[in-house]
Amino acid sequence: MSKHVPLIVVAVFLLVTAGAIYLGVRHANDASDNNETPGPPPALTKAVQPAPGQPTPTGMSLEGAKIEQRDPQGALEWTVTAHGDLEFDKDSQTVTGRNVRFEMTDKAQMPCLLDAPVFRADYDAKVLTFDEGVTGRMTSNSAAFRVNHLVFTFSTQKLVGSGGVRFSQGQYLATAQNIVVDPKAKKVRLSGGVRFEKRR
Amino acid sequence: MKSKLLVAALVSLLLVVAAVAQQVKKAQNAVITAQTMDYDWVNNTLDFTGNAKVVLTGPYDATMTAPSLAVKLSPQADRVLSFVGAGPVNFTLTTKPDANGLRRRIVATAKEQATYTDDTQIIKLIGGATADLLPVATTADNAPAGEGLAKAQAVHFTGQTITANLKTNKLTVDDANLTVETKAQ
Repeated sequence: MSKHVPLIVVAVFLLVTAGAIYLGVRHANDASDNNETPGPPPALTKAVQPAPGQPTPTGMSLEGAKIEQRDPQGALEWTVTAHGDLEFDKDSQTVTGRNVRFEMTDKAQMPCLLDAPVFRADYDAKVLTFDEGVTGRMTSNSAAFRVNHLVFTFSTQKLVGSGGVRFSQGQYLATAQNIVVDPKAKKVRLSGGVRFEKRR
Repeated sequence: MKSKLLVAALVSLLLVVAAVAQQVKKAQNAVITAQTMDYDWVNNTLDFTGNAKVVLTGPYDATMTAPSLAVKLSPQADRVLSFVGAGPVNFTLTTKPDANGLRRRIVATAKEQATYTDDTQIIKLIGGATADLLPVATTADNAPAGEGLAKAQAVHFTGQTITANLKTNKLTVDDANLTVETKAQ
């Protein structure tokens, strides 16, 4: 038997021991994390970041609980800020969040603000979806609207909403089933049983 | 005799328009319904299409229907500056009771368009315009009183354009044709 054999045995033993200790510590940490009592939700929590090396959708950046979308020239097009978590799913290329504010910048022809309880950005479909009662207002005048469900399409930059539309401008209020806000054309279209009257 | 009838007819028409004008000054609620509404951000205009209908309620009741209706709002969007109904436009209005307790229904149409401007308070029915003034109550006890058109059961106007100026209480019919129906004694 070679005199090196005991050294090899000792080395193997040490490696096995170190591995066991590492796995034990890791398991303990995982258990500790799972049992952690959640604190009060922070006003602005950190978003789940894509894994290092994982490509983010073109033009998108996640920072804190905020998504920014920039055009190829780097100009800011819109932002989504969450008062809760924003979570990025790298597999489905989606970002989901709650209690969000969507803001179209001045780069848009008709800048507006949206507030929505439920938000989802689908970067494969290139749409943002706002749900469960969306309120919006144009930042360049007094127009405002409410709608149950709203979709923003990247390519057209249009906001297309459906269900329980209420659109107000100045002293007037219009109700309808559907709404399309077209910033490029600087027009708002309501359709489906439109009713327009002066507010009382 | 003919000139007397013409004067009486004009006086009667002025009374009807005056009655409408008086009612316009009071609060009036307007509801517009349509299939679609396009709001133009730049010009502050509204385009209603698909069975556009305006219903006015309040001191008097009026209804206007048209395939499409364009409305111009004030910059503050607190009042309607003008509207244009694209033809064929149908317009009905029921006046308040006059001094004799008679209410009249005005039924008007225009093949091309109807316009209203708030500053001038002028309503124009353009292109093959017609207007009928009909007493709402048709019983013998409530027969129209007075002379000329005031006594008429029904008056039918046709013309290229019918203009009602609610400020000056004038009704103008261009290229006019007038038919008066009176009840035989």
